[in-house]
Amino acid sequence: MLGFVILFLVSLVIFGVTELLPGDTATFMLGQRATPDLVTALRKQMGLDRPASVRYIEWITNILQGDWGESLLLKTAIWPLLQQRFENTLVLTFLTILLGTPLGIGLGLLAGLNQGRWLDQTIIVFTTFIISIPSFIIAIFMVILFSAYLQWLPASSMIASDASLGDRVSRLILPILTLLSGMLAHLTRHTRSSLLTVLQADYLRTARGKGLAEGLVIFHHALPNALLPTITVVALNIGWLIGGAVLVETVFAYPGLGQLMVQALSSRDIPLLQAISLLTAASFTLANLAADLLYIVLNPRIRYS
Amino acid sequence: MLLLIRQPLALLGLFIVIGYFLLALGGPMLAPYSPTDQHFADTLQAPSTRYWFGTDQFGRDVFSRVIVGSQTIIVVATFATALSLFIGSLIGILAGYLGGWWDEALMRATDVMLAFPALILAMLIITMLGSDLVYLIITIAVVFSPGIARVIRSEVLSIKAMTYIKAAQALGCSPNHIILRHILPNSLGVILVEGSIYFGYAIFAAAGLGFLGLGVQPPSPDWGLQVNDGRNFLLTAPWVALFPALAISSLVVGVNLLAMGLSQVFGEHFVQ
Repeated sequence: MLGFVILFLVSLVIFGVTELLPGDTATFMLGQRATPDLVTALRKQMGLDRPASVRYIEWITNILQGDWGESLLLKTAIWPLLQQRFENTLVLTFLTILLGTPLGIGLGLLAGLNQGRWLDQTIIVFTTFIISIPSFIIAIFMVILFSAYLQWLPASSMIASDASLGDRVSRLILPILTLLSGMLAHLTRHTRSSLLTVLQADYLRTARGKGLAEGLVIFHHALPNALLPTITVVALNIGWLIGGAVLVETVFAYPGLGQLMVQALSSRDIPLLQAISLLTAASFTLANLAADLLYIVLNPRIRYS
Repeated sequence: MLLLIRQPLALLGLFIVIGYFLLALGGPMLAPYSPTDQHFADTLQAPSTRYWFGTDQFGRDVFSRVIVGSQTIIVVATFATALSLFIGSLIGILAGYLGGWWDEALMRATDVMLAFPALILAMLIITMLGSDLVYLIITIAVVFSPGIARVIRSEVLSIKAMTYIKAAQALGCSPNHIILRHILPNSLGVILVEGSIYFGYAIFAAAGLGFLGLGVQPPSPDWGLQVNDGRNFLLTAPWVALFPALAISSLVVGVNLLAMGLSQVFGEHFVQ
């Protein structure tokens, strides 16, 4: 329920930011040719002279009925465009999550179980570096290393419609590797610190005290509790990947939602901008909501009424 | 500060950060060439003794542009962090101390802001405001303050439950006095740690927005913009993007090492 309230407020913010700040669609469309008369005429023609509240209600009811409006730049309906780009971004997101979740948890456990030893130290130093480098910079490093220097993989992820499967896969590797490294670092850190917290718990001392084998203590008592918080991290990563992959998609020219947003920005395509912002914010909110629900389902100690 | 010195990694971070601040302070005085001078005979030259980091597509010296470009990112990140700490602390303290309706309203507002991926929200705001150094600072501060407000609020809530606050209230101290003399000084550690973490985020944001062309406008040197310039020559002249990219990474590594040190000093778990 709270999720819907948030989404409603989010739509208000998007509309407010794009409509109420200086410069509206009509002015942007006319660009250099904008004279006060022309702007007024175009505003009237586009219905922009009506009060903002009326236009907001129209915008949101249309979207709820599946009509996302028309792009100013491409002069086509927004939804088919959005749908295709969203699918592309989702492909990247889910492949990254699919590969990153077991790897991140595995590395985190490895570090946590070897706390203080060289393996743990190496993993910590490594993840600190990865976390400190913005994803689009990692993308640049990847291209320089794998495309320019080693010449193993293509630098661009623009996929031709008649591309072979092998070509498609090879063009996905670098963007996924880039997104994976960031996600992996965060997840490893969280799994490690969550495991370390659990390892200090009294019930583990009890389990050891009653003579259980160490393997049983770790896998049966420690892990289920340690892994609970990581669900939230994975879900947060879904949101981050959908919305935050803008820069990585730009580096690789990958035809996803982020790249579309950059195009919409540079051409001041406000309806398209509003639509993309709403879609990413909605996915972000839904991912967080899903994390909360999953957490409740898997954690018998929490039962919200 | 003394505790910080005992951590070699944090100290290294401190040196890196101070180094970049000095670089920004020196700016054009330290650069061998003007960052905007175009040497058309020397376009896309590989690094050499003449051009340490090579030249870009206009024959501009990459080394000089990296040095002078540090000014943009340091100024934007510093002011954006300071502003977001101010807004975030204000909201956090008000929500935490006043509680009730205030708390509810302010926290729901942060919920809405946090429902956006940070970069998307920043892109939306900066596009509408227009590209300008001041707008860039305001945008980053607006996007980051809700997250800071959350942390400060929970800190204030735990301070508020302390006996000495109850004592101050019983003595009849005004809310202003309690907030300024008791709550604020006791939250400073958390505010400092948050500041160091968000300084790293602000560099991320400034570099990312610059990369998208939403930061300072060319020909002013800007690390993010330089990386974007170099994107077209990654296969033939990788140094154009590589050196500003290394500058961004090393600065954030420094900031994060420092942040980890600070959070250990102030007993916070460093979780990103």
